[in-house]
Amino acid sequence: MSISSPKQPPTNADSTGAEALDRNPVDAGIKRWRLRFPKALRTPLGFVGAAILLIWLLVALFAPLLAPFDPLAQNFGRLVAPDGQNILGTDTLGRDVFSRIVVAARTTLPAAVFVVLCSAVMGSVLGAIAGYFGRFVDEIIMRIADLVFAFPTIILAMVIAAALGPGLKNAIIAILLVSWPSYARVTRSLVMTARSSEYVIAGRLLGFSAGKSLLREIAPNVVSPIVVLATLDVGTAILTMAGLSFLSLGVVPPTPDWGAMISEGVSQFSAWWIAFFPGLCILTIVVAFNFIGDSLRDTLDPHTAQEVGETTK
Amino acid sequence: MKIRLPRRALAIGSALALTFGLAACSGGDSEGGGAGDAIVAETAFNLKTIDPHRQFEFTGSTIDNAIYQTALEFEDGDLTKPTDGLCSYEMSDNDKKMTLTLKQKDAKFSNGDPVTVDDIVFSFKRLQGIEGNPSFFLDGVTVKKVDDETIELISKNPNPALPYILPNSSIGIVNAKVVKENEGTTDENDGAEQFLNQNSQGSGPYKVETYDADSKVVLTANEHYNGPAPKFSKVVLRNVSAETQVTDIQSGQADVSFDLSSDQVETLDKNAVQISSLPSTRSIYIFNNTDEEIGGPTADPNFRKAVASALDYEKILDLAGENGQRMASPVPNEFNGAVPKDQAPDRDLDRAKKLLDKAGYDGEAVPFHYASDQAVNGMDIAQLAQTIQAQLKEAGIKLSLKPAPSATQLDGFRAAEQPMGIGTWGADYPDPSNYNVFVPGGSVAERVNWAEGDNPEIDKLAAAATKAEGDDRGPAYAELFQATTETGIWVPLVQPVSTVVVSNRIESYVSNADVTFDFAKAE
Amino acid sequence: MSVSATDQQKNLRPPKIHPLLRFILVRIGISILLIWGVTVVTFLMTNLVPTDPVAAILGDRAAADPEIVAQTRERLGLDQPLIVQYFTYLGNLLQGDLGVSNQTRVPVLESIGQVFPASIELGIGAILLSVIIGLLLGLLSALKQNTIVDHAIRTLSLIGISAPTFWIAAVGYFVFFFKLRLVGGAGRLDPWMTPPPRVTGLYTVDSLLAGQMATFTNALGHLILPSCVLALFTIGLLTRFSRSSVLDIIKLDYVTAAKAKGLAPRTVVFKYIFRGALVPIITVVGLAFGSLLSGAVLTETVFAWNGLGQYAYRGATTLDLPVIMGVGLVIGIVYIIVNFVVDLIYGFVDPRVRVR
Repeated sequence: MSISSPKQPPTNADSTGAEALDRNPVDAGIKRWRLRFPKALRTPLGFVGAAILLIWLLVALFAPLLAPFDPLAQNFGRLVAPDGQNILGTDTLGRDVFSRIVVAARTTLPAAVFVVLCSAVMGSVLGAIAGYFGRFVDEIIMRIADLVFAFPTIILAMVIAAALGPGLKNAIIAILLVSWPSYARVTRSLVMTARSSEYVIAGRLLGFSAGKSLLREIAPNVVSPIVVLATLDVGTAILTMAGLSFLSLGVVPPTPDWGAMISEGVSQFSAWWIAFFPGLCILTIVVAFNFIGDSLRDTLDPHTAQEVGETTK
Repeated sequence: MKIRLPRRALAIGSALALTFGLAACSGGDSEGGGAGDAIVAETAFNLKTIDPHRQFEFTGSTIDNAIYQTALEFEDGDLTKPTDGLCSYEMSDNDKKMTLTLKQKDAKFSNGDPVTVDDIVFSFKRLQGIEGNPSFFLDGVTVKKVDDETIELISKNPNPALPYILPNSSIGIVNAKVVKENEGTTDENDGAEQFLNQNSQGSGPYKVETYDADSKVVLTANEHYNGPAPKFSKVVLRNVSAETQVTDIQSGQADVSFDLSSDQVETLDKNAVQISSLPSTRSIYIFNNTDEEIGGPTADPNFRKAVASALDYEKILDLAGENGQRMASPVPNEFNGAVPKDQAPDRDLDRAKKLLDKAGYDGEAVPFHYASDQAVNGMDIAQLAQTIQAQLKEAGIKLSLKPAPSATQLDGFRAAEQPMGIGTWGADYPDPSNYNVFVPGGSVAERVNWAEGDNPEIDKLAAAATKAEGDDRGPAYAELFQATTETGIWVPLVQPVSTVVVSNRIESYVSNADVTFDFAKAE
Repeated sequence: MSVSATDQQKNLRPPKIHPLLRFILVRIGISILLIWGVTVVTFLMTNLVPTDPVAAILGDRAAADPEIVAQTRERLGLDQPLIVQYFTYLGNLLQGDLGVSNQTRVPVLESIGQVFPASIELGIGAILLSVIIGLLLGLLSALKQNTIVDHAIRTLSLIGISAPTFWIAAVGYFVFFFKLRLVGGAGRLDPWMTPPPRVTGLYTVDSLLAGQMATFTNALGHLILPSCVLALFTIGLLTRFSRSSVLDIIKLDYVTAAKAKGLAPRTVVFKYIFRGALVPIITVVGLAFGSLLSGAVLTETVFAWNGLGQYAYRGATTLDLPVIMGVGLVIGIVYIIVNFVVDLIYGFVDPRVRVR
């Protein structure tokens, strides 16, 4: 759950003429998208976050070039402390920790982004349907969302992973199944607000179909809050995946994975490097997404920001 | 089922009982100092019950060893010498009739009742009748009370292993009267398990004070025990992961650790703890399914032999730690009937590649199953699997790892649906006949679809081994297991080490092949 | 169910019922519906697990005997259609029977009774820490808005919610216990300590009640590190939330009026600003409690804390279905009750909620 301040730093609140834009939600939605996103990253936090993320993206992209050794090869002495050759030491099977960390970014990052994209799409679509049609459909979808909320994420994911068997695919399915409701909630409430606004009603009167009005007129209002939510959620997804791997219910070995490395290192306290560095990796990458997400959220209008903040689990 | 989770780790001591005296420094006394007359032992529980006739796991047998006496015992932990326990014994010449005579007439249960022949007969019959996991111990044996001092055990077939079976803590002697009063029967309707968990009915040095299968079992001294009263009047056995055991044993929060890996033992301050390591009675091996539909390439003997040639056994030994041993058959090296370990194959990548060519192996990935949460004597199966994968890759064999929690993995193995993977076996009793499960038609062989008649040669050897008597049994079984291993259906990997770490607060203790750690004898 | 029925009847005659009462009844109805939903989900989920509970219950030998297997199936009702099984399950639940663990044969309710207080103790410890630290940091941050202090606190709170709990737990354990010996080790008490006589099941409270100071200190020493680790996330959360709440309040007229009246700054801060900000914060505390139960699974694993999380983990990895169902149900119910209370607080405080 991440709840942040709905307050905006003064630079954003005053200089972009937010008030004028906010009078017309459609304009606001579209222009906000165009105007503010790059600007958001100019806040110190946003900048730092973007910089860290950029570094990690480069690492993931060029991992094969950066990794000095084959991350799977068990060529070195076991449990070698960091030295000139293995700069972050070796693990219990004599594999180079640095190479493994670098290569692990290639599975973690895309998987987290993928799972968040899927759950954002799934959640928003369900939320939009609930918000637009209301009544019975709304009740059903939102009660299911409540149900999912009622289970702790990790326990639900644990059971799913234990039932389907460990593996990246099953971990993604598990996280997907537990993470869509926050998007559904946000989208639903935004759609409900937009639905009753004059321009949408006008559109309906002009004979726009439900799908068309959802897509053309309501969606633009929903996109930016969802993007913010999704950015924050990537961090959460990385943490949950790492947690599953830590419980050996995630990525299947020998594929390097940060959570699994920590789990291995925890049983070898004297070889602290095995667990310490992967933990730092998780921390920095999640911090990056949270910094960016937080800065982005500050660019939303206070009401929407609160909506995003309160429903994020 | 006989491939099981961490099972009783009888450690075999080639040098018999090892008694460590007088820890050099007394500075190991725990900082809390409040431990007093309690000894704290830690292990990662796999505890389902401490009803002796149902328990079949390491934790349960560790506890029952301290609570129950058995008809026979192993002399000073020497697994080759069954000796008198509550009873003395005599075997008939044809190995079909065993006569037990009650010897310890002063033995008393924890409520003060004397141990009688009726209690022993009831315990044997209950073990047989309730269809629990250890019921197979007395399969085909008829129990008969002769008089108030004598019992006869009549076996259908010659049963030379029986003296080696009776010392098992699963055949502990319970107070028949009390157990019967609490729904205990000698058939499937028995309902005394919960009662026995909370109120042990044994004549050993300890009795149960509290039982919590999830976290902690506390034992207190049995005041009616007929042996010397234990120095520690209380035993606390805690459920703690191996990681935590490392810190607890070092900080003096625990006195005994059962599950440390060799890497973890390495890191301990040798001046602060005592380490007892003995060869374990566990075998770790690769299994290959013989059904082509299921196993694909593993059904081809050439492929299987290529696997055996491609493994780098030295590296695997390294994972097991200092005293790990090679195996040339699934039978532990110290057992009668084991194939000498110097006959175990060495790595030969060229040979492996040639064999693969012969097998026509096209590089397809073979699913390789293992329990991701299991450690055998501190040896992490998940890491072993990764090592094997890397080694076989060098020969061109591709494995795709299929980890699963033990429960799920076991389900698939039982259903004989796994092409290849890691199996472990813990000895139920130290006799080669216990390893008949690996022979066609045996319960483990069934898991890889290996049936009687598939290899007539091996069937013949099996029949010969069963028939052999006395000194002929060892060589006959060795020949059988050598032929069995040569099929490559089982690729023995390593016989690990059973390591117990004891804090310096304990001045002397007994750790031997029969009991990993004898609480009653610790001082 | 009966509640929601009356609730609907009452709806037909709106004028007779006080809106607040109606609001409460509706919430109760929804909560009951949700709890029922939780039973359906746990039941279905565990039936999707591809494993045969009979094999786990019987052990290998008996499972090989088709006759015994058939008998057991019949005894457990597993030969019945799924829907019948569900209603049997529901019927047992209503009588407080959560089934028996396949692994240890101990009734699930009994085990949960054992482990639940452990998790609650950890949760309360973490909540107390997060409320105290989170509120103060949030207040400080808001009062010093846009200063270096504010930025530092905001950044730290973001980092707090970004750290993987299990990693922080391991690092904390290594540093504070293994190296520095500042705190107690794994578990809830040192091994040779006897737990205090059970009243609440919370060792700290029970030992105080029994007047065992040594046990209390020991239990507290064991509690402090896991609570801190677990609290890290919620501290971040509460800091951020209380900051924004306080900022909202500061702008309101009555605070301005209070300042204008010349009241001492401390009075303004604590009597006006803080009080006003407290209400939304309470609701977040409620939500945070739910998230703590989640975080507890990983934290409990590292600290060998024998609570609900560890129990759930063991259940999941051994595919012990009654355990999984029991834990899922209990946590679901706790979450729903917490939400219900949060809703009520909202309803009492904010009349607009009721009207909606």
